[in-house]
Amino acid sequence: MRAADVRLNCTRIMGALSIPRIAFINLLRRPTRSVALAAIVAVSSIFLFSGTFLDTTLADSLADLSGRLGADALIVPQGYENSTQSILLRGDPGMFYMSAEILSLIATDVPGIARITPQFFLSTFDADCCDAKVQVIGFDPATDFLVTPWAIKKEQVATVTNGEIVVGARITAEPGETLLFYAHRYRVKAKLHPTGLGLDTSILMPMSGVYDIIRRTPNLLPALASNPGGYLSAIAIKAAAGYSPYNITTEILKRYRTSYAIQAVETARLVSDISNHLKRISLLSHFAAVVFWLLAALVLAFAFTLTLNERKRELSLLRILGAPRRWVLRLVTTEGMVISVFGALAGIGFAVLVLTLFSPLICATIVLPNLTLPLRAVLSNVPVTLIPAIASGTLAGAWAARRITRFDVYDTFRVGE
Amino acid sequence: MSCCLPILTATGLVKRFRRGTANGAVFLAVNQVSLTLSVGEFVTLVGRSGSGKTTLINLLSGLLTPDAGTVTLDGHLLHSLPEAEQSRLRNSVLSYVPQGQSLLTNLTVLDNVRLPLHLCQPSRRDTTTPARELLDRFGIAHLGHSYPANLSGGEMRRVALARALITRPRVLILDEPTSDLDIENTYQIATLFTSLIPTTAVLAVTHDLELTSYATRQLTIANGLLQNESPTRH
Repeated sequence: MRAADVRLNCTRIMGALSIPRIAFINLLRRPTRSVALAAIVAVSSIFLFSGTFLDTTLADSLADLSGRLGADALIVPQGYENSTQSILLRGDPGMFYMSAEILSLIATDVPGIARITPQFFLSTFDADCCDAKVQVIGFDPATDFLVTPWAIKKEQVATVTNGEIVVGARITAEPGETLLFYAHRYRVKAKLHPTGLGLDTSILMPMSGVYDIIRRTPNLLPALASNPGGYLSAIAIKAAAGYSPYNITTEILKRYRTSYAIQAVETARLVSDISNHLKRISLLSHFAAVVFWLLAALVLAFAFTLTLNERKRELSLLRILGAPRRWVLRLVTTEGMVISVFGALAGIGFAVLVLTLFSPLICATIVLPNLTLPLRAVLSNVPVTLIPAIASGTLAGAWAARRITRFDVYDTFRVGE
Repeated sequence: MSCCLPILTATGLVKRFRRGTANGAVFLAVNQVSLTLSVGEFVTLVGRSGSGKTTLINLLSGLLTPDAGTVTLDGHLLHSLPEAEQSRLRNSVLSYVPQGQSLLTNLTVLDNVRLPLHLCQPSRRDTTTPARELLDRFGIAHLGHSYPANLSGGEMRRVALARALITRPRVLILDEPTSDLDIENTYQIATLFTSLIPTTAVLAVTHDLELTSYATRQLTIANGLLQNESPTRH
């Protein structure tokens, strides 16, 4: 069969010159114009998707943040409340300490405490798992209630010993492997589920392991090197049923704030602060998304009008051939819709890529917990972006087409010559 | 036999244009023109540039709205019809070929020719066969999958004529149909128009004396006014 015959058969099979087919042909035959228009939709989609996605995802992640943190209150050295927040929420490396005496005093003297456990925060200079500093957290497996619930195998955390470590979900090491830091090789005993908290990028070991590091590395914390066991970084408290965390922390501060230079952080208040912060960011992102959407709709309408002005002769020819005005409107509107769909999908894809690659940076910039991109959240936000993006492109095309086709065909045809 | 039945009648057509700005002078492009076109006629419309030839045929085709007067096409008062109905008549009863390049540049020659059939008969399946037959009749079947940008002026003109005939119109109105053609092609087109006479009324605006010589009737327009008819060979 000759090539010409094949082409002829294809034409027969493809059949009618329908509006969608002509719209596609017009777009494909003018790739630069089509891509330029789609790019405008894509830019607006990036802002729309990023704004709504950050809003819903962070709202979801904040909803159970208090529960995921595990503690009702934290006792930390005065002046380190923000550092504690950074370590707990994002795993930003930090080191601070206070006297360990306070742990037993609070445990025995303050009523209403169901569970209490210490932690020691240490940051590495380097580790062969990671490109940057890593937060090492010392914990007490016997009393812990913050780390163990996240373990893939809980019994492995409960039995972790000196020389063994537990790694967060985003640390690239698996149980059985070893990691080198502070000139010592540690065996990975257990791994945690993703938490969306600082634990994801942390390495955890028993308090005794942390104390060994401090002893072996005198330059790390010289003041503690002789007796590291006398210090800790934070005390996590779980209130007993019927007791409010506020009353407990008030009692602790009344008794020990001055003598031990401590401060209390209520996790509910921490979440509340973050929520307020998020509301401001959310408002800003919504505002930016709406402004960009409106701007994009205006730019699209303008761009469509410009391109249709160039196509006056072409559109008039269609009407000379007998295409009703409504047919021409549908053709241009279909072109606008196709451009919008491709532009919006490209914009969403780009936004997902950027959010995936730069989510830690974004979180650090807006001081919020680690951002995860669950497929459910991505999919649920796609229609929120697609619908207005497609609507703006389609309406812009329809609006421009109405303007162009409202005159006598002859007038438009001559102008287009 | 449909010969000699009036298919297109214009009565007292007037079209005014304003030169330049909104306050510019008004001039009469078409002034009280009345004419009748019957199936079986090949009529040429001649006149100097700016005499109102193109304006008149656009009024007759429903592409321009007259300030006064009526056009009756196939028994319908053309400008009183809704826009969609005007378009349907323009597609199925009347074909108009404008001056100059009038092909859709994004479509192939074959798609250009078969497009009018899809506009008036969206459910029609095989439009390729009649389109190829017409292209063959005009000696350009080999150009079916070419794009207009790759055609010469004469080839484009022949494609436009093939497209105008695909719906088998009863009125064919053309603006300078032979302006891009050499003597041989002009002869072919004139012969074609003559062959259409039994079923079609042809009205052609032209400066081409060769084409005019084939007409059954010649109209002259000057300053928007239709002059007395001139005798022709036929």
